[in-house]
Amino acid sequence: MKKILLAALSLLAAFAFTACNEQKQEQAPKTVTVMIYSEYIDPAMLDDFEKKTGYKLQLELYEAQEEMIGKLQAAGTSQYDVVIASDVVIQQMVHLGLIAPIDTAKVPNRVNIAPQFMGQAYDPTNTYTIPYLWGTTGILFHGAKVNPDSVSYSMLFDATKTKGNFSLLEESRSMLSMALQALGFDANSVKQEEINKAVELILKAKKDKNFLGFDGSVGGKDKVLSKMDWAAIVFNGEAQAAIDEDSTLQFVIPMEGSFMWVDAMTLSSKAPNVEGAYAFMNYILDAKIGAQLAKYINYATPNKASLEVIDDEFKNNRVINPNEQEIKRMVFLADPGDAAKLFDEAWTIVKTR
Amino acid sequence: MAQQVTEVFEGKLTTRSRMRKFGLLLTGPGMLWLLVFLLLPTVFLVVMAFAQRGSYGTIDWTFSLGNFKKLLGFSSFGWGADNLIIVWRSFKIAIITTILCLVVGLPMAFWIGAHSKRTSTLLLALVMVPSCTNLVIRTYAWMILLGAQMPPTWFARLLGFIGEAESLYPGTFAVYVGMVSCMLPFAVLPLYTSVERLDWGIVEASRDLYAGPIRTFYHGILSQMMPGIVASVVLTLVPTLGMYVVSDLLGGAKFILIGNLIQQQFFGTALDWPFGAMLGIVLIISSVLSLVAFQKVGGKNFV
Repeated sequence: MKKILLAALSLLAAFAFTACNEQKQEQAPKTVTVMIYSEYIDPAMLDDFEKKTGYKLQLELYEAQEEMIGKLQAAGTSQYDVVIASDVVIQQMVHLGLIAPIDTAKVPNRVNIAPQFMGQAYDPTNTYTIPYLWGTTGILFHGAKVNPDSVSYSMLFDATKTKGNFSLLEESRSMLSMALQALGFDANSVKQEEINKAVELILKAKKDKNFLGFDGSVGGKDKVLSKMDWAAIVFNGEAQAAIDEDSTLQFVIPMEGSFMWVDAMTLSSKAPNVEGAYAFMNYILDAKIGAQLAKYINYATPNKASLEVIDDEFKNNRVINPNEQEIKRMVFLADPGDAAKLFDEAWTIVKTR
Repeated sequence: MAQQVTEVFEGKLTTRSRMRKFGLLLTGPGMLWLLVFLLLPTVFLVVMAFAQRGSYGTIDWTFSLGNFKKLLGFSSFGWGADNLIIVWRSFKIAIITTILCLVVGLPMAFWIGAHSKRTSTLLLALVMVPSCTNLVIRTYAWMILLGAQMPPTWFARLLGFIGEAESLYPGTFAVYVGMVSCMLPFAVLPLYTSVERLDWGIVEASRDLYAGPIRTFYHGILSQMMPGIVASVVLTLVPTLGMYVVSDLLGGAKFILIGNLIQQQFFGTALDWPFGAMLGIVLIISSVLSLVAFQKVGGKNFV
């Protein structure tokens, strides 16, 4: 009996040992795991990156920031090397210990970053983020072309001015901040009475018979393209894709303002392949690669060296690259801190009544 | 030794204690499964429900009744019936979906049962086949089918159900179409099983005793089918209570259900896991209660 037990135990130990070994061997061809929005990289870059750096690029896709943070918290940060995260969640991720400071010396191409992405509220010390792409948020609509600087949010929030079905943005913080701006408040306001007024404004729009529902940027774009919607709130990348298909569409930054956003590359706090992560960041910050990425995704590049190699048509397109006047009326959304609770409760009211 | 009772099991003499040990061995894995995957998580959920949300979605493990108050509608914006409305709306949709599934599923089960064994197996397989496709993909298919440029919308306009400029999607009708098409297989399967087991002799007897068609159906068929109906209600009601993908996609995401609210706490902007746990408990308790109530009512009326 003892012998059998011993044999079984040694067999088990052998199994465990080989299993460990196998795991180590599997990791040997080094991969860089990047957690990224779906359809947010040029697929050609997967091979190109491996060719240039020797690292295999593996993408883990997500659809929403909240989902990404949930995954990082539940599955652990050791599964990923680079995490692409929006500006609004950076401070939260730092606080939760999900991302680590970047050793800037390891990313020499960092000098290419345009100055307006340095020292912003989402990363005041520039230690956690390297911008990936950036963009704006506005209204995409059908109809006769109008002066882009004369369009007001009232085209959505005033029932007497809606000319057809419209969708609002299915993202609590963003939508509430736009409603705040429509009312003339600061987009980053955390004052309860102001948020309350923003809630009332959205609830009023919900009662409009032309209100079709809440949609993400892609869903809104699809609805406008298929003429189900007359207008929708979308990001500029989606707007450009829609305008490419139907040139009669127009995209505007409302005169009351809206928000711009930046998606940044961050280093996962337990990244198994830190060197690979830096290699990826450096690769994306390359002038040519940055230009290729921006053109493929149709978003603006934060890379000033890329802007020099990109063609003028892309550079002068106001949908992708807003002019100074438009940039002036836009803000980055700051981390709301504990006021996040306020926004959430406000959103529950918006989606219930 | 004398007090040991001798029993016969599988043709062999054995003792009670030995049988008990054997029984424990057989049920052990199942009980362990329930312990690890049902009891422990539920206990954890209950404990978490009385914790608090720390900053940035962390969990503050000090006991508090805050979530309970929040559940009852006390928020930073004062009291509002929002959470209660959400629970009520979820129940409404779940109950209507269940009833629709029964109304569509019962005739379907009888129709399938009326065929030969081979054909009915094939028909049953056809009922199940759509479930092989991902729910979200099926829902997207409905979005396209019920869109403004599609025949169902023309037809509805022609009959005057909707206005000229409206379409079936997004809307309440689309939500129920999506819900019923998703849950129907789960409703039909147990119904079919009880149709198959029907003792038609009872129907004959009831006819012989001059019972009308309604009474025959009620006492002769429905009472026999009660286990199947209960099972199909359980299988439709419970999952529909927590479902939110279909209503979001087909309803235009105008209103949220308890499923959305829970999702919002765990993966949404709220990052309030303790409140999500509290909502999860509400969902568990309310589905268990509604099932118990249904079984009591159903059982009484049909015996």
